[in-house]
Amino acid sequence: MAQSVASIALHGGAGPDPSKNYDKHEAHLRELARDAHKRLLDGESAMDAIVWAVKQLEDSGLYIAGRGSSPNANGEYELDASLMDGFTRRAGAVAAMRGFRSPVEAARAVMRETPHVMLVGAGAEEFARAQGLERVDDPADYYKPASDKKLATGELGHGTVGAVAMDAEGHLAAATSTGGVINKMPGRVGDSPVIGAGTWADKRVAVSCTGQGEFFMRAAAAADVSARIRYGGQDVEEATLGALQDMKRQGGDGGMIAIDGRGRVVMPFSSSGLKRACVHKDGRVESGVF
Amino acid sequence: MKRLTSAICFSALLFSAAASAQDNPEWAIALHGGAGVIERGDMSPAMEAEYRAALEDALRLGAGQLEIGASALDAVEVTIRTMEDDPKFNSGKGAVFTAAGRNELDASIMDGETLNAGAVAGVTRVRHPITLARLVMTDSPHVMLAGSGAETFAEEAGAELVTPSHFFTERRWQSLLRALEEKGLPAPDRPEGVPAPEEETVDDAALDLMEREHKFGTVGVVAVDREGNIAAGTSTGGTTAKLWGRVGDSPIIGAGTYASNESCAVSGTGTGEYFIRLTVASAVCDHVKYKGEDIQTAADAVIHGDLTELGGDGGVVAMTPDGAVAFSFNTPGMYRGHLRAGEEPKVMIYGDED
Repeated sequence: MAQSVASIALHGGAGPDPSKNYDKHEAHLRELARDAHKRLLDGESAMDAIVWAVKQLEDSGLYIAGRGSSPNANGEYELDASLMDGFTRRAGAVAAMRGFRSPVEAARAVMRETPHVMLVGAGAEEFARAQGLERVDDPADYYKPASDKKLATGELGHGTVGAVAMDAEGHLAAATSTGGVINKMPGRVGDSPVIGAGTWADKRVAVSCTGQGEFFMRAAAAADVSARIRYGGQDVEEATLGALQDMKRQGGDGGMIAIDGRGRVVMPFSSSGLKRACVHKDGRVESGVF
Repeated sequence: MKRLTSAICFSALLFSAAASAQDNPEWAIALHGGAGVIERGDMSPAMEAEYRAALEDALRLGAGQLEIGASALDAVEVTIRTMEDDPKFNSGKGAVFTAAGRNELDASIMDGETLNAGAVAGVTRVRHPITLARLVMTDSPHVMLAGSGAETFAEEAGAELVTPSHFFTERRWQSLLRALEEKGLPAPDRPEGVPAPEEETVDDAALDLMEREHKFGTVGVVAVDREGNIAAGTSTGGTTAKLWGRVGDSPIIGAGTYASNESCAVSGTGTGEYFIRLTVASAVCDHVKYKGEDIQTAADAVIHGDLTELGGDGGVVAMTPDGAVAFSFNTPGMYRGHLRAGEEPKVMIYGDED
């Protein structure tokens, strides 16, 4: 008999602009978290629930992922995503992929349908075509960039969406998806599609990160959270805060959502904020932006 | 591969003793040239001697740099460059072919002092992917660039470009044709600008060995310099007949490469997908950092523990800032060697050498 508890957390990116109002984003995240939580209680797996939630986030156009992505310096929309199943430790990722509606769905197809973990660029597109995944035929019409911010030279962007969940079986899963910011260097791969950097799930913890991706890659941040729990004896709160503090010392900021093996949710950040919402295992809904 | 794993594990465990020195050396370098089913009798004595000489030459090159005060990062880069130019190894010239008949190269490098890192994936015209990875680290705000974007950056950053035929070798091409035939996939056209097939002959025994040893061929180097800083780098052509822009662990910081002065420097080689799913390189460092294990214990815990349990094959070379070196692998062999200040180079291939 499965336990009748589950928990889920979602994020819509770190580093919100303090001069802007994000009520719409917060309400959207709360609603999605509630719906995804209900799916979990109805017996949906953590993997299915996070893919469903991330697809909604991608399609909303509210965040820098999926429909809300911005074109890179070549005027093209290059998207990245990854996911990991904590029970089997299987994982999938796509990077610098153009022309498909749901990067997270493509990442799941890589996990399910290939012996590989990560596919990039034109090869990933060829695979997605062969899988019959939904295409974006007219990028100029489809994409509605959620951010009009242009990056200064050397500046690192923040936009990402992600989800982590523990299902009624106690299994964990994590997913992260990102679009781009205006003028992103073509071919740049951030932490979002990198297993261990932007996304991680095992039996101890599921993590999805957002922030200055290069710092998360150098720290292998998402996997570091698990290592702190496994080898350092830390709890999920100490582990995520410790990982963020280490990166802050290196000069990088961002946020994380994480759920441990008992369903405890944390959503810490070291940036100006983190668009976030969760449903704790007691059913309590929590959300915030700053 | 899988059927061999359980039989091999036990012997590999016995053969993975640490090569740690009594006193900390002034500098040290260690490398691998790929792991796999490499067993005594597979290679002709002449071929084996060639591999040993190549490993020793690479070690001496990097060691010479460290001796005159070069940084660990420089030593890692220069050593991998010479291995990238050596057609015996699956990186740079001599890389394996994708199913489409291309050489798509991946590399990464990490500086243990600053935690700066650079990586490239799927480049086809860059002579030294390891140098491009270092340029990503030093000359861009990013850590990883992939595909054509990485090559545009290579042009801007002044990395040496070559025509794709530079990477061609007859035996890798024949190996691709065999792999595609086995999979029932169509053979691509022979690349432009390469020698006609009859000019170089390849015997079947050599191909057999290559397919086993280079199922996950990679080169990787770790080093500690006179300042006590460590660095790691990895470069590869990936797997024969790979499809769809597959990226393995080599260009993934944390999976195939990791370095931190707080813990250790690691380069891995093996079934890349498993290395990614376990973040093998950073996991070895986590054992050192959070559990306080010595480098051999840490490397063995990840390779003979987690990796073997999950069903992955391969190995790592790892080094701590005090110059202690560990090799750990669950395959019958791994091309490998180390050289520390004041010592003679040590080069090994089979599991029973240490």
